[in-house]
Amino acid sequence: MIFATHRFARPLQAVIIATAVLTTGCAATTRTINPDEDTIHYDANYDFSDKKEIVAALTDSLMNTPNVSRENGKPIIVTYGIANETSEHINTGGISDDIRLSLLKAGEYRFVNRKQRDNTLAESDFQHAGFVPPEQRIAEGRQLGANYILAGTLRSIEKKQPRQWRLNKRKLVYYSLNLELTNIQSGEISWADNVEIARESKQPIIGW
Amino acid sequence: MFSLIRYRAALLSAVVLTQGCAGSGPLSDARSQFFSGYPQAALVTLETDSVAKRNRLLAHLDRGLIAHTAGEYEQSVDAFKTAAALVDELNFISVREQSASLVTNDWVTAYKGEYSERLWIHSFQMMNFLLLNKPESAAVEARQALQVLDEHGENLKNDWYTRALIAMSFEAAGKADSAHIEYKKLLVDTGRDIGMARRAWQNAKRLGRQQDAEQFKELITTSATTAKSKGELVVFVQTGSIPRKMSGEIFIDPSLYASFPVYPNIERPNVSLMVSKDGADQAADVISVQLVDISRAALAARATRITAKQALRIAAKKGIVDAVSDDNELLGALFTVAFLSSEIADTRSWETLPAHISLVQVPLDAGTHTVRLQVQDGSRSHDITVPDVDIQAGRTSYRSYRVGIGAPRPDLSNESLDNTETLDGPETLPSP
Repeated sequence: MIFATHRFARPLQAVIIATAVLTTGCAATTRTINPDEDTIHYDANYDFSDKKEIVAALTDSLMNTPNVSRENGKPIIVTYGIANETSEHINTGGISDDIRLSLLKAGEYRFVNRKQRDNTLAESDFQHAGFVPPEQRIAEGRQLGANYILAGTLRSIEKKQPRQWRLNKRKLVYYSLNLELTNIQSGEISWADNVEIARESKQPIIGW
Repeated sequence: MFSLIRYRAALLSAVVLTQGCAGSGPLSDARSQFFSGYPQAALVTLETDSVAKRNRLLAHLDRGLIAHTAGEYEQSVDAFKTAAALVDELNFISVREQSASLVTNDWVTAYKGEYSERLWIHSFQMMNFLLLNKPESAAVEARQALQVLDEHGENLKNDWYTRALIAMSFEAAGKADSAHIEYKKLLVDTGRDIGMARRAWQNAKRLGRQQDAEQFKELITTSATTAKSKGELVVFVQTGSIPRKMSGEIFIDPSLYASFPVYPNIERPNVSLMVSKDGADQAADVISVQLVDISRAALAARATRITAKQALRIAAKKGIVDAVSDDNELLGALFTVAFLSSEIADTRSWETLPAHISLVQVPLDAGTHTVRLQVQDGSRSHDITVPDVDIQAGRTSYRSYRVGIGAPRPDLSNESLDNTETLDGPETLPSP
């Protein structure tokens, strides 16, 4: 009996250790990433690090432009969004929202909320339909009139390595975001700038 | 020692052989349900039952198409997005799978989709996004479809349907320049009106490309006209079921043969469509494509690679049989039988695709109309009624229907088809 126990002890230990190692190797892990500090690109495609870079560059440029008059107070802007002309499903609303947030925080510009226009009208109509006491109703005809339209276009050019004998497939993606501020009264483009990002990724052709 | 290695190799081959041809139950069940007219049941089957890992792409392709047929366009978008991501993920050569397939067959490898099927992921996505009134997303899919065409254009260029849809998606998203480029390429390649010249002409006129507009105008064969007061109904019609791949065999000697996937070469007439509104004939532009023609061309593009792989497989199998026979003739004979029986062509494909796909463009006066389409598919005739379609001046409404095999049963389909909203694209059609 002692002999039998001793004989199977080592293989049993080996199996236990192997199992422990295997299960440790497969355990799921989670790491918190700080979007303000970490720049991570898993592939050549657009990601949140790009958005951060684009927003920072364009906000900085717009805040420091001398072409936008501030004589009559802070300029009032309405955003018309950023057109996505890339071959990826990118939510460009996130870029325009972040630019607007940065400018609002800096206190250099004022914004009218175009997305809530129908809702504000509905709320105003409701208040003036007799459901709200007159002293609590908002005054009509007091909404801000925008001086400028902020709009832009995100474009991409993708270049794949031609077919040839190789171990990796290379892909080069170039992104360009153009943003412009148009004076509503004159139609003049008062400010325009762009951010360009070019990135190359490699993907192995042979794997396990 | 050498003999031991041979036997181990033979044993390993035998193990792999027994796994090579395992079927994919849920996929087969879901397809049966879909072809019987129960798309919702098919979706449940694909959602709840696990499909073999190597057939994941087929499951996503089927789920996307079945959801589209059921009118569940958001669900279809999700499935096709997953399918497109998987195509990218699988775009490498797996040493493990290729080694296993050398002693069995290609069924042990993950299905990566024919080039044509990769293109049609984007075709269905364009349709989905147009139906969901998301023209900018349709344009994104159009750009992705162009990337596939850039890579495999020689084999896919006759897919007029997808190419027209690319131009229409750009037009719907307000990218008239991009639409013009695609219309022009299409008309130069065809040299005739395939149901697109009118749109191409209108778009060129709007852009001020007079020279191109004149050329396109000369090609117009349709009597369909548009005016500022008119809008348009665009109907995507899918008819029947695409033929399945078959196994083609070549005997090298009595104990060796190679098996190749082929599409059956059966002549099939193209569909014809008649449109009527309120009982009277209605002029329309129609583009129809027989999908098997494109699939056949895409498969032919892989012929060299398939042949090379077959040659390697035959050499590997013969090598193993010879090695085993040296030591044991009986075992060698058994391996010969096993290898012969495992020589099965990989006939997997996206089987829920329709046989024909048509793009019907019906210019209509603003107002509410009931439009009828009569689809003649060989000796079979199908009627589609588009009830109470609300047409607004300068706008396009989209609908999608499947008739014949794979069409939802009327009692079950009413709900989903009635939910096909009237979706108006932001693009206005200019008067000529």
